[in-house]
Amino acid sequence: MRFGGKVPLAWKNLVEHKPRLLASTAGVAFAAALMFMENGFRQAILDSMVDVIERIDGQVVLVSRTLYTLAVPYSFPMERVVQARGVEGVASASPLYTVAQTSFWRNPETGREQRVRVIGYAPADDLLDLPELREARDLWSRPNTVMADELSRVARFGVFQAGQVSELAGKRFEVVGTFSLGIDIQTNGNMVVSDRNMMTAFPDLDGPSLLDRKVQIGVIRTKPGADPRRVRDALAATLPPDVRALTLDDFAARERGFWDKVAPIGTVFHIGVVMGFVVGSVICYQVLYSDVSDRLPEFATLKAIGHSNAALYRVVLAQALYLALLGYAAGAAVSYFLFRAVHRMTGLPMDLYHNNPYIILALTVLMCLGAGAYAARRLISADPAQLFA
Amino acid sequence: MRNPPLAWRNVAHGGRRSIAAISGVAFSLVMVLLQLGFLQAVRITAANNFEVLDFDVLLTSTRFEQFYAPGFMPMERLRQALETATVESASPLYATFALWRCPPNPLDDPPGDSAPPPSALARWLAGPNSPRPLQRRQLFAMGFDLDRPPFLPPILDAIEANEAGLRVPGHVLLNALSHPDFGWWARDRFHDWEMEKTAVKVVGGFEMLRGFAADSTVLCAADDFVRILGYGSRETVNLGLLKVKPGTVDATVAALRERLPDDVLATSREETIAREVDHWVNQTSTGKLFAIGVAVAMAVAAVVVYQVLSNDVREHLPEYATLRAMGYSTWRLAGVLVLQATLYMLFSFAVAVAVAAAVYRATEALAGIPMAMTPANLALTFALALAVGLVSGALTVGRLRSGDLADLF
Repeated sequence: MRFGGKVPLAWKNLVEHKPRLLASTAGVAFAAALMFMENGFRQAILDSMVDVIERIDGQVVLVSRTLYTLAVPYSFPMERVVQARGVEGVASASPLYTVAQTSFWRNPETGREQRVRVIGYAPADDLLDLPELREARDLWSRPNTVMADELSRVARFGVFQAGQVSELAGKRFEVVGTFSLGIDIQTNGNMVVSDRNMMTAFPDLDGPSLLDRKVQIGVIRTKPGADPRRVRDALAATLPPDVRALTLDDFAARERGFWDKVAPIGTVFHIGVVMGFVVGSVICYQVLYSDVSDRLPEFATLKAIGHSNAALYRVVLAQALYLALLGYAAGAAVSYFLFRAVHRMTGLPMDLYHNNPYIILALTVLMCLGAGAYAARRLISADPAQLFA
Repeated sequence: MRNPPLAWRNVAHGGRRSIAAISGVAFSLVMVLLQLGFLQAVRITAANNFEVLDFDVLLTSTRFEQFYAPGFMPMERLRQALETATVESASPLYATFALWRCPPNPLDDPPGDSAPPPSALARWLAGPNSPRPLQRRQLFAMGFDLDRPPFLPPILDAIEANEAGLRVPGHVLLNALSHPDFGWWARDRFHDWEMEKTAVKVVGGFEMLRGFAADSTVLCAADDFVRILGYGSRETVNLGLLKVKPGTVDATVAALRERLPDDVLATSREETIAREVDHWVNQTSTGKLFAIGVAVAMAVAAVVVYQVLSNDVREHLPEYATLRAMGYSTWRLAGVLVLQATLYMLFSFAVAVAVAAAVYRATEALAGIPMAMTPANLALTFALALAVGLVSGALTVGRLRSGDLADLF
């Protein structure tokens, strides 16, 4: 018997009972949504942690050899950035400063000081790829001005607007504009200031001379046509070992690797995805097993008129596949709204399309086919004669 | 027998059908327990930091955000607090993140430091033997007055056992429950410990849970702390831990709020712990994600329970019809259904608790967070299972009443 001949049967089996089809699809959809959710949480955390890194407008970076996550910034002397300018393939090397743990902004409404991550660079260097910052360059070049992230947590900072005057690190600063970057699991808010204002607010970063300034990231733009990996190797060979040269992609991958593998949070959501898969398989098995049981007389009839076990098996598997696809579509639709709700509640970037949708699809199909194959074992033992006894 | 235990027999003699139903419900309950466990881990680690400290009233800077970002305040506030009649003692706690030199593995032939980190599973499989380069990582350091350690047992016992050692400058205690990268396992063989830029010696250990924010903790004497962490002097402290006369907590908090300058906050022990838990559960992304995880897992579990029970009822429908024909009333059959749903839930819950216990242990080993099955979470999960089970059971009673049972034949 041709496989194509079975497709309508599998499909008709699936859609015969409308209420049951709804319940079956809902079961698989929930399983898919569960996996989307757990994986989405994990990706959201990883994406949020590398958001700043991915906005850096450069191909290679210098970081302290000590640095293992940008959430715990470590510094190296400005001298290394200056030395990098002489390395072959380097078009420009500029310092980027960041303070994450010890910087406070006084919320002008409540008067309470709130921890904020501050990023500083020379406005002319244009190191972060954020249009609002580029356009307002003249504004935040002035002394004692900051640009504030409008996606900062409102409960802590209130709503940032140009014209607000308050204190950053205990010194008077004025908000002159806003930009959209986003928060992560370590930071509740972001500010960007010029390199001069960075030294005003955090004199610890300054040194007796420019070369002694404490830099957190050295951003390097390569010459047109230069391979970033070769520039990285040239930098590593030339500079003293207190700094590490990384391509921007390596830097983002290292940061993701830390949060995914070393910090507990990534592991926890991995376990969630695995559990979602297990629960989903159990749901699919339930759905298909009860369907096969109900149709046992029909399958036995088919067997009696000469269909092979393998042919019946294929019918159940085809049905499982359709169920997987329907459930996946419904699950993705549910997840779309769930993701939006989670984004509103946590401020984390929740992006369905960026969230390995094909891996979830593969897992959904795998779980339905596996459950279907297991449920269909009953067909093998089905004896047509017994059913009509 | 006039009243055969029908519900029991349906479950006990259902064979593979019962096993499928029970495992289906059990796994979805495991998911709920796991998500509740994650959320509980956030609560436990948040509360634990204060629970190990010996205080009735806490003084903090107004900049205080949470335990790991406490802000600074002058020691003078502690002296001023002591002037309040009900305050018996005031101990400073110095606490901040510090850079720690983590021993490589193997000690004599470490891998290069450019390799990506191994996954949690690979590290767990390799145990402390997984190779890692020499690196500096951040841990949480706490300094205290050795004459009045503001800790409760068992940490207090560990401090007292090592008191003589801690009096020597540069001697510290390392958390025995640290992330393996921090090298507690190598304490007898590794001698080049450094905290920030100072060589230190690990003279002993203590046991303190690690959480989502700090992978390890170090205890040292206040003089060492201010020297190594560059505080300048002991006059700038992070937390003030006050012991008050019994029964005077609220009065003391009120008096301190009245008397002390408004750069400090006074909170009672309960208030402090409640505020800390609220911060981690409700105000951080981590806590919110786990709370949403609990909600989604519960929705899925409800769907699974309904699926399982309605399937089961459908399969037994001819039998119920027979019973009805024999003269059983609808209500009597409904009783059987509800009892059967309850039995399924009881079995599933028992299986779920056993499986969840194993998954909890695995999570602790893989992620290093404390997982505890609290009575409240068990009760919540059981209540959810039972409620959905009963509602599903009751919904299907409608089918029995519809009267077209004859159609079944």
